[in-house]
Amino acid sequence: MVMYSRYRQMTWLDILSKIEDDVDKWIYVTALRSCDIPCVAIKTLFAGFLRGRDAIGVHAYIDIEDFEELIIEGKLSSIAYGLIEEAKDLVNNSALIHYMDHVINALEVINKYLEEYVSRRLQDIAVILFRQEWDRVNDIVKLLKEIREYILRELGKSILKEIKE
Amino acid sequence: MMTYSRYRQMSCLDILGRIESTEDRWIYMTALRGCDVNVPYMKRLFTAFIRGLCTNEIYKYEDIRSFESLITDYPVEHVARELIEEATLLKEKGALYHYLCHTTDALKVIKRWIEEYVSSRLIKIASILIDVKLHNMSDVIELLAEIKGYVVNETTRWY
Repeated sequence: MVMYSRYRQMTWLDILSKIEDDVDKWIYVTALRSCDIPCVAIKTLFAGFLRGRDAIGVHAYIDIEDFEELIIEGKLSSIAYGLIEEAKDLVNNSALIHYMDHVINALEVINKYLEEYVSRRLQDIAVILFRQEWDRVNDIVKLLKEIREYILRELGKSILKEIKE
Repeated sequence: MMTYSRYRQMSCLDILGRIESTEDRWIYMTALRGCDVNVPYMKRLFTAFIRGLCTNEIYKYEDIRSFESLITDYPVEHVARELIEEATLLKEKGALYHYLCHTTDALKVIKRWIEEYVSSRLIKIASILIDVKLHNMSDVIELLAEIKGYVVNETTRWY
């Protein structure tokens, strides 16, 4: 297992190399593409986290830095409402179940091999959206807040370590 | 480069091992999931081909055997008609470009590193489907027939 401060430095290739089981590898890689229906907040939150650091190095796609920017700088209630509106749109276009099922399973793989804290809370959010529990905005906000506070602590530790070094 | 008879024995991880560029690996991996909107004919034609052979526990997923069954067991006219209907559905849902662009890019990667004959024809079919206004059924049928002839020949030779 690794702390978030380590996880955020890994590319999807690094992450893949840490997953030992072939089925789990399959589950992880099939969640790397974002949803086929446009949904910016859902993409940034889930795909951004799952992908880790950009492996190509030219910010060619949404990655964990975009995930952090959303979590740290965004207004949490707006993010929660945005996620629900996008999820409703995915329901209307018959894409929610397929995409969220892949995301939930991939987060379970990350939780099993690599990072526990953020992945578990993201999975809780994904399950709320998957079950279409639209009245649970406050629960999503609470989970986002926990993730934000944890990431800020982790990033603070990481910066302190860099200064010391 | 290799022939289809060799390609069809490779798993997605074998295929990944053949791709030397990180960017191309990314393109390949992000095309492994089927479309989020249910389009079974496209999934069997494009995604199942891209995946190669799924072994053991991941056998439950549609893989190159589903692709071969679609190509060899169904009339090409029927497959072409279904593909065009699915493309129209994806256009309505707003998923056509995202899914088919990922698919086309992954097929180009396979064509560049591994298998040329089938992948180049699938690229042409995808490019026809992506432009809903210019759907040309006879071109799709012709390309499917070429793939069918080639796949039957390659798989018969293998057995």
